[in-house]
Amino acid sequence: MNAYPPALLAQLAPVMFVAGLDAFPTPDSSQPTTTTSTKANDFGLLAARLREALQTERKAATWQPNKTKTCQVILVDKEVQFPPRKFVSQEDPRYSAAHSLLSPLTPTSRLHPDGLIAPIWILKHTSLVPSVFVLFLRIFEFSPSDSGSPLDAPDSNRERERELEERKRDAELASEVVLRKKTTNERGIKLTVVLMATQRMLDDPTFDARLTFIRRQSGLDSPAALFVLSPVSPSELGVFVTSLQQTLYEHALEYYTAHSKRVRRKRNRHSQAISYPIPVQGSSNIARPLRPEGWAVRYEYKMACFAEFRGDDEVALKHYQDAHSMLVVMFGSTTTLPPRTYRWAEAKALADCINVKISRHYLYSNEHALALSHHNTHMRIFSDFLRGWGMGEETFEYWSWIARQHRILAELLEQGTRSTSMLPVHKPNHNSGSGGLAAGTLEVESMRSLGINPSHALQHPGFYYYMAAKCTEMRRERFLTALELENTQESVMASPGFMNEKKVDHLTIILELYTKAYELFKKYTIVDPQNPTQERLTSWIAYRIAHTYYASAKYDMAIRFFERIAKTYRREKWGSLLHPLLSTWLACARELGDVELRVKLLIEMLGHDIVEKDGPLSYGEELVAVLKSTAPSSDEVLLVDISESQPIFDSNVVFWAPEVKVGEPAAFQISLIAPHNVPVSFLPISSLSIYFSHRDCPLVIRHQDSEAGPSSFQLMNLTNVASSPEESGDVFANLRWQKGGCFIFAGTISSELPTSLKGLSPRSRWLSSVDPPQYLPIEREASSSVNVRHRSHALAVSLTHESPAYLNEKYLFTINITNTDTRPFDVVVNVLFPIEIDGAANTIILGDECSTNFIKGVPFGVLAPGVSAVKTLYLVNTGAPGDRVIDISVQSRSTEAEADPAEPEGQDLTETLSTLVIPTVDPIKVSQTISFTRRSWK
Amino acid sequence: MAPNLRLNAVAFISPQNHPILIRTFAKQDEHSIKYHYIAHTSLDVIEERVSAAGKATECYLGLLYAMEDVAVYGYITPLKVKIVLALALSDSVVRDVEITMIFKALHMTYYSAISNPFLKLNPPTDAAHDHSPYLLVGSPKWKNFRMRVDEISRVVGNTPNAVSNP
Repeated sequence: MNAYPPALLAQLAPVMFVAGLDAFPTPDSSQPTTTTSTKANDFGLLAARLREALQTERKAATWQPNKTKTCQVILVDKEVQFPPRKFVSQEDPRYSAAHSLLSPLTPTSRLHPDGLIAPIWILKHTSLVPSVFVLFLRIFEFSPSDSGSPLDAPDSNRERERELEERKRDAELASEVVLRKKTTNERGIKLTVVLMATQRMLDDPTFDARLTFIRRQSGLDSPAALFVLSPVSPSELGVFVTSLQQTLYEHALEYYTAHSKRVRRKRNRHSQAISYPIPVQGSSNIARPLRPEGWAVRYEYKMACFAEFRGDDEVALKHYQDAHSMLVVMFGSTTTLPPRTYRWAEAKALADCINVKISRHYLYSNEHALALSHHNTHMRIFSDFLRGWGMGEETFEYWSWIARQHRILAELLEQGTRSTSMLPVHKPNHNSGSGGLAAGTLEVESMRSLGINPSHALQHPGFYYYMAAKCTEMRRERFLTALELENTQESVMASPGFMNEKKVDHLTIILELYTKAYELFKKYTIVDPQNPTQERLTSWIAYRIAHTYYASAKYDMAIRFFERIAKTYRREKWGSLLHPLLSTWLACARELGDVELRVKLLIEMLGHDIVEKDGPLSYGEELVAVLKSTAPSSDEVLLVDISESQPIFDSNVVFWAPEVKVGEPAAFQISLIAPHNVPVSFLPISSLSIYFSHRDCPLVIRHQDSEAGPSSFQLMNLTNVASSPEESGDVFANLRWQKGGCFIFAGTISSELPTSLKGLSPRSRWLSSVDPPQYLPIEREASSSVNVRHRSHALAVSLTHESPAYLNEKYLFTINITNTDTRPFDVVVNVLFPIEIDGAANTIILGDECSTNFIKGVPFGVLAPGVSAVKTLYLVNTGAPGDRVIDISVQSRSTEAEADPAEPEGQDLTETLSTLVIPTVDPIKVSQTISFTRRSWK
Repeated sequence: MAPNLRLNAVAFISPQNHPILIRTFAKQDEHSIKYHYIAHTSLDVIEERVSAAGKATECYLGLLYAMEDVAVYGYITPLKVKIVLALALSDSVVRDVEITMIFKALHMTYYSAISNPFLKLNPPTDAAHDHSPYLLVGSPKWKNFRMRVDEISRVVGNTPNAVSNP
């Protein structure tokens, strides 16, 4: 907004001048009030409070939509003079024919002869001439000490003296008012006098008479012309200020209405009689008077402003729109407004400011689409004009102007959203098919329900700041081209605009705009607490900021940004965004001479497998060159952790079988595949370490040059990788890869403990043939991990019984367990006997244990290999007959392994489950039948 | 009558937010990176809309944002594949019905492309970043998907008011 005169942008409101308040010294609160100065302080305090209350009512701002009918208060000196209206004094007979000082018809005016509207015209109405003038005056009072004691006898002489003195003072006051009234009357300004008097004075019986005298003397007879105020409490003062504002607001409106009428009269007169000569073509150097279109713009603009002062927004809008379209007509002809002249620039700024006022009007009433549509139309019309004026897309002027338009919209929105404006949410209307709106709605409404025009979809100001920054980047680009052209051709390109452009620090502007956009994007991001990763939009802008820092040679700042942004892009694996970032980052590192960073970045970029030459060397060559030519800043080993980013080699671990037993070798293959596009054969790899989860230290494979050179396929058999490092010596291999070359390390590992050996690659294939290399896909889910389990225990369990069982019988049941394994086991048996039949009460007896449903942990002792153990189980079933189900679990535990009770997985334990169904019947079944026949009587 | 819609770019993004395919139809090649940024930043708005809508998310997410010369629209399939559309910005109302229709066609294209059983055959070992083989449909190896997306763009660009007058 600084690009335009603030006067042309500010929200207009009736202006009220307040004078006379500075006559009272502001009380110094630090000093204790002495009794003698109390009264003076009372008024000082009152004046200070009044100043504060009046000025907080309304502040001058670009965004000021509130419709509280208040005036813009300006504190002025009592003796303030209004600017002369005309060049000649009022007494002069030429007065009526003379023009205003600011008129283009006045030769001394800045607008002479063909200017439209200067900001000074608005300034005149916002700060030099009020619509109402409030004058605070202190009525003369004798101090109470002078009045003598009430006990004194009335002294008629003294009384008369005092009366005369008062009369004299009052007359002075009245003449002061009269003087002021003369100047205000001249301009139709309402004058209101506020007399300040003590409470004692108000109660004085002579006061009314004095007041009447002053009123008559000074001609303050009209309503709301005279107020009296005594020192009151702040809340009462607030009431006074509000009522003063409200009363005078009406008068202010009258003042501006009178102005409007005057301007309208002039406009009508003007449109009827065009008496200004049309200038001859080609005589552009000679001063030409303002053309009728120009006068129309002037009048429309003035009427718009007076309507805006009145708060009549609809009328203001109409006049502003008329002024804008009239300006467009004027710009349409290069003879009316020759491009690149002072008047032309002035008119362009005026058009831009009118556009802002129109857009702002729509935004006040939350008509977002209309606001944006007007703004876009303005930009479209004027960018067409700019092209016509030879300031098209290829010039910095064009982009400078476009950027300014985006920026001013952003600034307006930013101010607006801070107070009243709400941003629309552009979500699709999913109920559009319901047809509820079908009949009787406006066409616009129905169109809205169908979809929106994206170019009318208002977004948060960050977007427009971003656009402004982007356009400023274009502006800088065009400027640099022009500069280059100037240097090579030495042509006479030194137009004043270009000279000015040379002084512009484009990068600082770009940075400022991007930073604002960044802050706003951050502000408008709705962070989902469950998923706080929404930083893509901000990352994008941060990337642009980093780029700007890079362009302005602030490499350390750029690096700080790159570091943070890269994290987002790495995490989301958007290589296409990461590549340009890395290459600019690398360029920064080169500029800073940071060897470590350069090495880190080069290694990361090698992993991205892109053949993109950045300078004469490929990334790999550059890495080798850096390693050979420069010394690191410290002796410490540089550890490049690329776990976040893409590794250079694609590594892959695959196990043949998903599960092996303890001590059994698990076959694995590890493959390392070099990038396909970037050569890595010259990387001086000296050793490769393979880390195993069951070993503390890695298996190190050292480089050994071989005559064959880098190969495309190598297989290395590591045989059985022992679990302790001492058992295996160093292994040597040729650690040089061709493009896309593959190195496979095959071997087996075994574990003495049940565990899970894990690799990290999700998809894998198994090398099945070396020449030619062929692979078998391993389709199972966790192909890169293997579970190592204990071998299961071999136990033979036999259960002998003779069914069916009878109710109430002690049913006998033998459990015979034989260890058929080679290891001794500790065997424990659990018996579960669920009750499934109603009314059945059952008992199980095993050894000493007796239970109705569950016997736990009956020891069978340690069974050596080949040894059997037998136990007898009794079952007593009562109640109803039916099938009884019994679960027997035989748990065997290895006596060798020390069991860790905390880890049931790791225990060498086998459980054999068997379920028996025992039909249970009544021991004796008695069935009786009685049959009888009736003998027939004969 | 509204002018034809012109697609500048289409992006398919996996449920894990990795790019599947970003296809640009604008002529200038140097700007294709721009559409990568647009696709990536759209995810922010998509996530915002999805989380705001809760469980009642519709597939069509509407206008995500308008920036520079494009209007960006979003769509999320029930299996969380995101489709982002960059339309050339023109001063006219874009009807949601039309955009939804384009999205549905793109969704079907993706759907039929991933139905290709050969995608899962012999997956390359170097595609170890994502667990989904569906990322592969965007690789240059599978031309059909690209061809169909291009076809949709062509049809949208050539048909005046493609779906507005059914």
